[in-house]
Amino acid sequence: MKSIGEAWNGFWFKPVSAENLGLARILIYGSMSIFYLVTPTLFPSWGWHAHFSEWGDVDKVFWHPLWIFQLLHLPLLSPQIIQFIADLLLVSMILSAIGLFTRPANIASFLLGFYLFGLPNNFGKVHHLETPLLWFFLIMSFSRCGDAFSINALLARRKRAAPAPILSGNYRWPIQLFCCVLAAIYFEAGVSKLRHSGIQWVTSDLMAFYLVRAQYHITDAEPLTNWGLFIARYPILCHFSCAFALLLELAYPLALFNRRARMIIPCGGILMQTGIAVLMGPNFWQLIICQLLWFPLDKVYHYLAKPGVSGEAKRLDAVRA
Amino acid sequence: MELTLLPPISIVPPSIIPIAEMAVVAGLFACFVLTPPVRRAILAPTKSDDTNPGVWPMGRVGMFAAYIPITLIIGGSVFDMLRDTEHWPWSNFPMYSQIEEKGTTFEDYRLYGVLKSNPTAEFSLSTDSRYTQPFDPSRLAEALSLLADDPRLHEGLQDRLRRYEILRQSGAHNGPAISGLRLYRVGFVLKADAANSENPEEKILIDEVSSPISGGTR
Repeated sequence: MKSIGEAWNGFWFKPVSAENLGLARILIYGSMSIFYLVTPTLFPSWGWHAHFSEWGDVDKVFWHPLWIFQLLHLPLLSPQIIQFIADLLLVSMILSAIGLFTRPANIASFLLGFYLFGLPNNFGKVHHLETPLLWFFLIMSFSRCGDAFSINALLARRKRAAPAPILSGNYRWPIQLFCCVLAAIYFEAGVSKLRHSGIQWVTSDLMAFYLVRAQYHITDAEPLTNWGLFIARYPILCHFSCAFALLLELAYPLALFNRRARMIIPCGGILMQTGIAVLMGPNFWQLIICQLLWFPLDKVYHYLAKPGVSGEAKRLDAVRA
Repeated sequence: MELTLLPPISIVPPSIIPIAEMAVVAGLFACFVLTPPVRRAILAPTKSDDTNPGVWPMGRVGMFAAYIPITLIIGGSVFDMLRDTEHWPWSNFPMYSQIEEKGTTFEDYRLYGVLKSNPTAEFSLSTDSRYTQPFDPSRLAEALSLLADDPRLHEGLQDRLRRYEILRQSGAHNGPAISGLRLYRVGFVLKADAANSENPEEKILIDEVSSPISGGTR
């Protein structure tokens, strides 16, 4: 039987190829660049995805700084400066996605994202839409995510005659840590429900209340449909959806340790987040995209790219052998 | 003899407290990590005996770089979960966790616009989040509830009125022109078809502002 130390090190640092991490970098930075570029134009009714610069124009009477903004003395800047920061964030996310100046771009994304994503939370209420993104940016800042599928890697390969090492623990821990972040988000939400409401969260008519109240313009986004009114009429459906949500949230950490759970639980998470957007309003699109990192992106890539032809895949096979 | 409790004396700024608490927990954790067996186990990946040139053992710098975010993120999350507190960007994620004691009713703070074309008519700004951007309805209600007893409430409402008109004139929304803004505390009795979603059973006027052209009122 493995010792605790071996299991711990295997969990974080078992050597793997750089490809999964590189693809994760492209997926998250790339999709979020597009997301923040197009949503203010295509979906202006998603109020909180509007231009960040608009917060600079809100009267200071609404400004209730978060503890960390107070601690770091981060001020409410003018709309022009906030817009400049938002533009810089977009550029740094694009550079991170293509893997050019990867490390500086990752760090810039985190620092700029920290201010921009935190900014709206200083106005009375904390939303958690961008929290996983911010942690992703932080993790990538410490990682070697530019070693594969990046312009940096291409340039380095041209300069070097010998092939670079291609299996390392450096490429495993960032994805593992980000999966821990996702698991913690759901697990903590489940613990909060048990702590504040106990099993009554499932057995009471709470879900019916939430589903109907969501139609009263109370959430941060309108529900995509009014189907919640239909479900609210059937207590059995409400209890079932509560039980499903609570069990799923509490079971999320299992996905970190069990391969089969890693395939099933994130699909449940995507289903739940989609259900929340459809029935209750809050739409965590960023979190839904992040769920894809639970899956082996490199295997999907090689399946699609026909590994028999790919030189990189041959090198990987040789090293693994 | 009666024991009189003195109010606590605060010599540390409140924003420092979570940092100080986290520092204590981090210090204890560091003591644990620095014990020789734990340290040996942690540094094991830097001494890989794998001779395959394609396998790259972890360097000490790499290990250090990995443990900074691991400790920071997981430590903060565990701290907030155990304490049931929220220190953005860490959180205990308490949304939708409370049982609603009032059963089928709820209260909210809402803004209503007074139509310029008909000053006797008003409409709820909560019906379209474009009217109140960058605030969404839930954040605006919370922000207004925090201001409800604040003398600066009037100033805040003036800001929202000005902002509504700027957004309307820039084409960000196609709402009607308004001459004033009213803040109500509204109470709803939930109905199965939500037919009363724009007609609360209770409406208590908290404050009211008018655009400068119409003349300010309170």
